[in-house]
Amino acid sequence: MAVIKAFGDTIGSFGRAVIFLGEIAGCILRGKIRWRLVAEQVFEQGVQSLLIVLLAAFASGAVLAMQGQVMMERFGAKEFIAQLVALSLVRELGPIFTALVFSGKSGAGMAAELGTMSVNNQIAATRTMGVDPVEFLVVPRVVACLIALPVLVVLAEIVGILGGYVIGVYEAGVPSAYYWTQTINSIGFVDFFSGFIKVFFFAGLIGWVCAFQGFFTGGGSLGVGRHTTIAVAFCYVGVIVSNTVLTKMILMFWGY
Amino acid sequence: MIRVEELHKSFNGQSVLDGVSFSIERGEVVTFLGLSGTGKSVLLLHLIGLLSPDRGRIVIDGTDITRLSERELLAFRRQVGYLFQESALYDFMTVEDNLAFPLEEHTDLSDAQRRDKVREYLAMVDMEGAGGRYPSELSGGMRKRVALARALILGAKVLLCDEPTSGLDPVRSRDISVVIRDLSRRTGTTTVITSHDVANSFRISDRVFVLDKGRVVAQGTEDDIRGSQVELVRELVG
Repeated sequence: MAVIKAFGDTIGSFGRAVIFLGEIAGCILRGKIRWRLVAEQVFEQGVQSLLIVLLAAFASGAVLAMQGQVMMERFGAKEFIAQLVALSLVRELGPIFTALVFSGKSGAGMAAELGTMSVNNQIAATRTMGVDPVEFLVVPRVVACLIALPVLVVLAEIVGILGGYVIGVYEAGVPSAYYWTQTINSIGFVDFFSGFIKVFFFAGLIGWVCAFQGFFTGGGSLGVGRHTTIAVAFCYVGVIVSNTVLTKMILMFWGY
Repeated sequence: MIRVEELHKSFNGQSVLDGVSFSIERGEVVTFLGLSGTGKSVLLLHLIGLLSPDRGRIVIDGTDITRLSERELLAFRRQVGYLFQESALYDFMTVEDNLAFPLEEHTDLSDAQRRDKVREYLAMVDMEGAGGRYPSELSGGMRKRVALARALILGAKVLLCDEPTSGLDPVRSRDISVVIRDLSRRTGTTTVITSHDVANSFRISDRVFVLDKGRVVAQGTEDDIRGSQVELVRELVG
């Protein structure tokens, strides 16, 4: 009985989330976007995540180069470290690492902010003042995700490549000019966009999930904590699982 | 002004409002008294259309709000001010911005006109000088005053106050009650309050309704209520 109830609740919750997504999309399609609030949110979300994203990217690039050095040296091909780092970051690791860090920082922040507003009746108060809270509080945050995350991904990829450069040049001994040439030559249009196109999907997913969890928070401060945790967990799973599907689709339709 | 007919509402099979009916004249100040959990707040949420009834009608100024769509309700709510128990001010805005927000949304006032109006309403609730502060820097009573000014700043025809004295000491409770009454009189607003603060309810209300188990069990002036033979009412007004 409890299993049936839990299943019913999950279906009901998913249905509400889809309706909520429809409301957000409706506002955006009708042009009801408050750009001043979007700019504030882009700044806030970007700044919140910037340092940690860049740190993670630099470390990822460096580790890729270290492991690349070990593997490539076995085949006498350590000059290919630059390609390994650049392609791994641009096609896959840059988008997914950045999306995961963004979920845990900005996504959690968004869910907690909206959740606190919900339990303090600020969302209900918005309705009582004749203002649509989805348009005023949610749409700017979701649109900001769609702007901030792609910018962060590009910055993360650049810094990640720098991390790889430091190890590749100063530890593996690849000549600096050669490293740069190899990096630039290895990244084609398809490589960049096959990774970058996924970022917009991740951004929309993070915005939707975190805004939904925050917007429908109940149960006081405990509820804020619970919904924020659920939001981040759903984002992690959603980003990782959807990345697999998207990667397969991109490889099928766009080629290698 | 406000006519409620046979209002029914249940949550998970539990009846909260069980056929509530009453009417309120324009400009009246009325209070719904009752113990906790008797449906007072649920009733108020119906009056602003944040909840829809299972059955019954709510007619405000000639409009049956139970038949309005969400979009029509958003427009209707501009005529209604709602004072939340926890004030519900935006904590990311200053006091001044909180008051200016409904004006920015629904009027064409210039910045200067908006500022003047905000100052005027802050003065009405004795909060001049607090415009630059954030809600977290104010006491509970001060937040209620600011929230009251925000609720009325668009010239609401109806003011709904959910437990305005809850969480306040007796002095602040009396102060906010008197401010609500004075502002309602001055602006001609029809005011509906929910409370379990008997003394202040009698102090400021033209009429009092007593709710029990989702029904109105007594109504009238202070004398009518004090003379009621209903057991709960006698216990309540002691």
